[in-house]
Amino acid sequence: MVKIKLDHIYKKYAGNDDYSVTDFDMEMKDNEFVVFVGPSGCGKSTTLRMVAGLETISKGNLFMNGQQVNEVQPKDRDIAMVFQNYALYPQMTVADNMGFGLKIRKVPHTEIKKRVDDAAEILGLSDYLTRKPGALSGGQRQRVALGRAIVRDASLFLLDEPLSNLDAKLRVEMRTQIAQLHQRLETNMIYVTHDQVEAMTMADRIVIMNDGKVQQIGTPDELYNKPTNKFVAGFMGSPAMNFFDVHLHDNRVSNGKGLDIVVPEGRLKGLRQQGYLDKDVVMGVRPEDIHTEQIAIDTFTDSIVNSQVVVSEFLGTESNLYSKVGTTEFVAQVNARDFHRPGENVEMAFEMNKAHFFDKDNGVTIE
Amino acid sequence: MKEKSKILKVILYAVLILYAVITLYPFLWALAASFKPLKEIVSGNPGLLPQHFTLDSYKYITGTSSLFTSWFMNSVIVSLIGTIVNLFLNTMAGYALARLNFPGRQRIYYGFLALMMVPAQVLLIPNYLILMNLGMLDSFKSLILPAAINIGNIFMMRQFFLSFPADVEEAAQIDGLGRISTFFRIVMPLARPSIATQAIFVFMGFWNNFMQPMLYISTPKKYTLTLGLQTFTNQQSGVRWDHSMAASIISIIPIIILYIVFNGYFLQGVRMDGEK
Repeated sequence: MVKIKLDHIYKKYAGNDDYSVTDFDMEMKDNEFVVFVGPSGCGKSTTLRMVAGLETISKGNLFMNGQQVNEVQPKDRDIAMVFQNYALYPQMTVADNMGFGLKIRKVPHTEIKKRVDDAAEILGLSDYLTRKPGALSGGQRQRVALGRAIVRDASLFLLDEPLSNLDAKLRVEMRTQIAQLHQRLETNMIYVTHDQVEAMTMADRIVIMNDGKVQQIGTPDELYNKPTNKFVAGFMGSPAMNFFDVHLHDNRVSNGKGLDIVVPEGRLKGLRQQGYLDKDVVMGVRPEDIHTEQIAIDTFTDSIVNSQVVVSEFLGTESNLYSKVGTTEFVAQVNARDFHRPGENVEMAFEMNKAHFFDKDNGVTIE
Repeated sequence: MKEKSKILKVILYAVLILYAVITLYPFLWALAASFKPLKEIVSGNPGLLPQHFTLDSYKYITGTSSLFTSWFMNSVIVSLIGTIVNLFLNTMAGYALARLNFPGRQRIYYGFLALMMVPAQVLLIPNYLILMNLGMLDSFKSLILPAAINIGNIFMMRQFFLSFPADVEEAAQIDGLGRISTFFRIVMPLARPSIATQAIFVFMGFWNNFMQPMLYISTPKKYTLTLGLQTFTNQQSGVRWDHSMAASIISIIPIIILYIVFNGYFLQGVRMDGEK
């Protein structure tokens, strides 16, 4: 266990005018699984690499157990890291790959063997210890990379998009395996991914980044249900949240392109208090908050739109209905039983109690 | 269509076989001549099989009256030391230019590229004068030192290291290796195919070098093989084709051995993402 504090950290690469990471400020709790998520180039891997010591910190401080470690070499930080492309040593066997870090640290041979055997058993690699990485599948290589980190028994695990090279099925398997490993090892982990599903399913806390800036830090539930801005709201969730540029007048929102619905008093109160009445705002509605079931149509009578299905995707348990009302396009995620074919006219109810509103200019959530 | 491609294939093979025979014949002739007495060689018989098979030429050149063994050993020493020094310096320089961030790195690289354009002949006289002033003429140092690095090979190694995955080095860093140990324990073993290619070219360069030994070496006992071989054709008794051919055949043996040893590396491609 190690207490980690990233204290207002900045990163600027030589020759760049702008910072790649700006004012990253976060403290990790014991045994916490933190996921850095965001689109490509948002600075999440750079931040992880600064924690690892593979990149210098331009401004700010990194503390581990209260000690400032900005200048400490990676090997002296008591960390283990799993790389996106595995970064195995092709000339060494699986066992040698896993035990190499211990060998460098002059751990006795019998201890190395014990730790490698234990890790191999956890990861199902016992039969492959004498093979070289070239003779392994992608999933096996990824497990060797994990094994290399496990045997180190480090205080902090850093995982840089470790599953991005695996196929969808294997990714789900490995996701579970990593989550189990975290529970078993009881150690801090920082995991970088661009996949919001990985972030949501694995994290104790998520740090969502964009353009080098932290957008929000919180639990998956907080990020999903209480996004602090439009970017977070749009990034978390698949299909992504529907956004509508609307005008708020009286108790209704409309966009002049076919969408015209009532905002319930509970949501309207905050908007009114903050002076958004008779102003343009961005409204966000998650696809699963748009319903086609009769019970919803009967319940949300003030927010029904007569829409036409343009494309429908049947996903087994649910269906995504890409629809439009007037010229306004949106997607609804409904129960698979309510599957509708393209071209069908369908009544849809917007569950406006769950709608999100954002300032049109800066995208900040209007509470 | 199939018939046409078959005919084309036959023509292609015929041309290639003819070319191979044309290329191989001089070598086979030299090999055969080394087992013939001088009279038979100069008799004008172009046949390959010796009518009077003899090992006399080999006995003569390896005997005590000949300096051939010394020349051979001189060539081995110069080529081996020169190759080892070259591999070490070229590989490290290539790595530094590809991986290390230091002021002026790009300028040094462009400077190297510019120096590649300078013909070797232009440097002969300046090198001679420098070596003379340093008192290194007529020594192996004069053959090794001016050729201790090779810009072409530095360039080749730089290109290799540019494509070398950085995360393997970073993994080694996290595993506890410093920059130098990462270079020797992780990078060098993975660079074996490139280093082997370099080794062959550098060794052959030293082994076949004639111009520099001719200019810098004056004591016959210090001659390298290329220079020594020439003496067989300069003796007053005429050209000793038998001795010359035997010496030539022996001189190519190290190159053949080197090729056989490193051949595997030429064919081996290493993918650096953990695959082979």
